[in-house]
Amino acid sequence: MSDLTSPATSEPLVVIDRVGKSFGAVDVLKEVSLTVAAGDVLSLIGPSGSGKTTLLRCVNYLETYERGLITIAGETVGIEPLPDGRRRRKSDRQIAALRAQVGMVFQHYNLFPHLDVLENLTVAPCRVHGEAPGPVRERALALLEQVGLADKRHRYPSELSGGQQQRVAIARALTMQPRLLLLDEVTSALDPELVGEVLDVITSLAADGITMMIVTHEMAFAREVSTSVAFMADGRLIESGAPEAIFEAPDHERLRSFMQRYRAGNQL
Amino acid sequence: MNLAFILNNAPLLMEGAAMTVALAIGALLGATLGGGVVAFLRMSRHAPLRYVATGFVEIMRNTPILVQIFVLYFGLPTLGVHMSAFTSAVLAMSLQNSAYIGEIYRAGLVSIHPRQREAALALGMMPGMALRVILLPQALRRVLPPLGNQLIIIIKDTSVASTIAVAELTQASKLLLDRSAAPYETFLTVALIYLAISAGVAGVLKLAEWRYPVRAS
Repeated sequence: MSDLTSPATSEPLVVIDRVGKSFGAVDVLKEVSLTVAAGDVLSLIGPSGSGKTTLLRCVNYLETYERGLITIAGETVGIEPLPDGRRRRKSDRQIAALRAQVGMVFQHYNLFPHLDVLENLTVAPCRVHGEAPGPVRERALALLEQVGLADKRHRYPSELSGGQQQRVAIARALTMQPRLLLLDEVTSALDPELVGEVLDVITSLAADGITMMIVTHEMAFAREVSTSVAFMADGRLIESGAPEAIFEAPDHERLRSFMQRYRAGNQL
Repeated sequence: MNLAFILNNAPLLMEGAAMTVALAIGALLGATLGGGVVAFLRMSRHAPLRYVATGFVEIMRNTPILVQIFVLYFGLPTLGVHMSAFTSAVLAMSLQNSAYIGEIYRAGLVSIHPRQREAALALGMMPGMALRVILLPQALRRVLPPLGNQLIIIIKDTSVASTIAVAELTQASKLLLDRSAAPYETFLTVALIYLAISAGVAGVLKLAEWRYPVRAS
């Protein structure tokens, strides 16, 4: 039905090539390079302030970046490199068109409180793509079914628990039939007992072959769901690879001490 | 209580009331639309537009409405610009209340968390669509109470137009006062008519608040 489940091709879906970003004098991203193939699930891990959320937000250009280039399916994100080496910001229309192909789920859900659950899902496909309400509604209801909330379709976000709101937010992003789904610490604002229901939904999406980039502090989950894991610290990509390698045999000292701290914290 | 006097002069009062409603409709439309322009300019990313809008707001809200009407009605003709008393009154009230209502809109918009705009943009909406479909509907719900206050103030302020002889309700009551000595009956009746008009608008706003409730996020 969508490009989400298209088989992996030789060309990666997302190419992050030496991306750099500064806030004033502080370099928050330094020469970060990564690729994500269609069907991959990449988890970004690392300490707070390591730049992983900033990197994720660059992928749909919610954050600008000054150096390097991100491309999705061959299309540059947010900026147009000119032949003379300068960079030009793309038009609002071009940027919006790219974002329409990239779903995003936020830490604080960010549902639209004045719309009911079903309207939260249908508003963008109807308004942005001009799709007919009937088919969009059916797709939205199927997705609500998938995240276990079909019975809440006429509720408002304020009437739902945090876990339910986050599942709605995932369904909202998927109703746009994106090629790529970005998840930014989607369980960090949840009460501990609600984390599981959201992670279960994401695990089922991974099984469906949906391409995802996930910023998370849930290490056990990252290990289980990812096809690859990237560890960042101080704006740099320190190490990336298969989850077994990252969690069992880390090369770099930074990653080893991060894992030790994580395990120690988990045993407390 | 001289009811007969009021009944005999009911046509004059009704004509005045109709003129008051006409003034109010003109000023309400002008001010709610003008307020949108003011808010848009006040929140522009271009500094000169923000300065112009800020200057406009400060001038408009720091000078009396009566003086503003006099400037338009008595002042502009010396520059060769002539307009009727009715037009002067509607324009002055529209301008002044654009400043107030623009600030009300702006307060509503800045109260919406930036995450709402981000979520709309992330779904592929253009900035204008995010404003129209996601931000404004939430902002307008939040400002219905102060907006209602301001609309009612506009209705009552139409009485100021009597000073430049617009034949509205207060002007009609002054005429009646000259014809006979029944001030109590006359002004009580006039007050009740203002009350009816204002309460009608207040009722519509209450209805709107009920129909479009503010929901927590």
